[in-house]
Amino acid sequence: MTLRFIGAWIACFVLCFGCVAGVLLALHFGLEPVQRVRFSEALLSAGGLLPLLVLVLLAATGFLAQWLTHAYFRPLRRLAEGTRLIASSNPGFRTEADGMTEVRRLAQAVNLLAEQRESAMNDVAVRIAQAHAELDEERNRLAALMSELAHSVVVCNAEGLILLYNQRARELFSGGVRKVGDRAPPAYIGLGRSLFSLIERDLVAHSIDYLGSRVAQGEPQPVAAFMIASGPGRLLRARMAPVTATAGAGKPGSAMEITGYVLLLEDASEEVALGERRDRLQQRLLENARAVLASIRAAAENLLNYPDADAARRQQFTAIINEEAHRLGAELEHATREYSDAIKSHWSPEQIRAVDLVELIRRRIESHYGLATHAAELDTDAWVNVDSYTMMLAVCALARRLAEEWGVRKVRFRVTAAARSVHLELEWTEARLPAATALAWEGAPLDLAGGADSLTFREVLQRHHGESWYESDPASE
Amino acid sequence: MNQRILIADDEPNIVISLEFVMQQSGFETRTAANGDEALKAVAEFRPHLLLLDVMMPVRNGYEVCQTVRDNPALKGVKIVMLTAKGRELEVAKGLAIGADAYVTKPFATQELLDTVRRLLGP
Repeated sequence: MTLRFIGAWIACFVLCFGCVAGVLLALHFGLEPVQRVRFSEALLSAGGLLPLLVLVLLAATGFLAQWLTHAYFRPLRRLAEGTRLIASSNPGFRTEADGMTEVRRLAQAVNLLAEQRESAMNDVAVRIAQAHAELDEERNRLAALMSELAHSVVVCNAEGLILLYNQRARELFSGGVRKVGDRAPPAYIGLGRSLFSLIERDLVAHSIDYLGSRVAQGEPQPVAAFMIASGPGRLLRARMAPVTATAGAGKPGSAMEITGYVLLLEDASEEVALGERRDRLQQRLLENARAVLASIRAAAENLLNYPDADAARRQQFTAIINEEAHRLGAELEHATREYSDAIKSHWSPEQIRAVDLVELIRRRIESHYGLATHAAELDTDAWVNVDSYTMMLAVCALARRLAEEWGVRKVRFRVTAAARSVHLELEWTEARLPAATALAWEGAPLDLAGGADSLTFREVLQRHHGESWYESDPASE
Repeated sequence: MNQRILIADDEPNIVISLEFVMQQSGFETRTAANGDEALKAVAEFRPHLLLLDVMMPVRNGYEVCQTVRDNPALKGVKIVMLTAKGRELEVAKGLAIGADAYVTKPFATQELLDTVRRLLGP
């Protein structure tokens, strides 16, 4: 017997007893005084029946309470508990449909609602899982792409907190400590850290302002470029681009909003040092050449302007011209050597598709030497790890010799991938070279700066761990 | 009385040629091979005009020019700077510190002679 049943029983009893008492009181007050006395006497005379009446009422209300509890209260309570269970922890639970018809219909409606809710939740879960999978795939693809980039890449949010970076960025900001074996260098860069702990805030702030103004003006892909002095003697070249999103997406006239930045960094120290070295070299060559030419010109003009000068004086001016001409030659020789050393020291191999390298070579050959070029067979999947500039100069030097010394007007390129190497073939049909000539060309300077002490074709190949050979097709003879 | 020209340059060959040209034109000449020698020669020789190379050992031409200009006793000395440094900024510097003319090497000796005559007057 539950409290709820007892409560229902008491309520029913009080209600029924109250109704009987109310009826009696109404009758009592509705009678004439004489009749009222008689009515009271009749009630009092029947007073012995009162306990019996109470017992009858108790029994009747007990049955009523029992019926109400079984037909309504318990099913409704179970329905409430089941609904709570569905809502809170078990979307797959279904309530039992018992009790009176109304209660059973209510339970069925709740179950239908639960069914739809569970289906919607499953649908959402599937979509979330798909989105997560796509996000993971995109992230992995982006990570793979970033790891292959020659640049250091750092992605941060609008507040400058780092969201993503690649291995090169880690190395760049590891204080110059390179990876040793499997041990990663100590990282001063990390996810969630501030970009401004790596780069001085003021340096970046100006670029952020610039990008903000360009985006506000509607420029789709603005880029800010700047240099950063990082550590003693180290210069970083930085390119910064905003990551934008439409504020209030979908609404007409929505403005672009910067949600983050992508920073591309590269260590430009070597390049800057090389540039400075070239500048100094050029300046020195220019000044020394001017000084030498001044002496030559003055002496030559004296010979021309003063034909009556005595023989000793004329001999002196002639000797000056001769001496200064030799000095100029030595200066040019020195400059050529220095330039060659500078080129040699600037050795920066990078991954490039073989077809792209061939395209670079073809363009230079056509523009510089006027040869027609043709790509006969190119393996588009072949990649090579080369200093593309030096390699381009090397191949172009061969093409130039073919054109200038053997009258070749057209060359063909073929690129094929082997197991661990890529074969680049330069073909022509207009002249048959003696093998000795081809061999001599390998050891001859590429004549990068017009001097005799520049790189040779063989040196370039050695740097690339490459080999070259000359083949003559007997069928073409 | 001949007008005096001091030729200060560390390149002996150009000095020989310039000395010859100036002497042929009637000028009295003396030469100096570095900045210090040039300043000593200015004090002793009292030239009317100084042909001054910029890139000289010990003291460069700019220092010599400034020292001469700082000395009121040498106020009348004309200075022609001869240099292989031909950038606009270097020309501006030479003229700013007191040179009367700035001639970039290589130059035509007759044009230099015209400049000298123009500065020294008839």
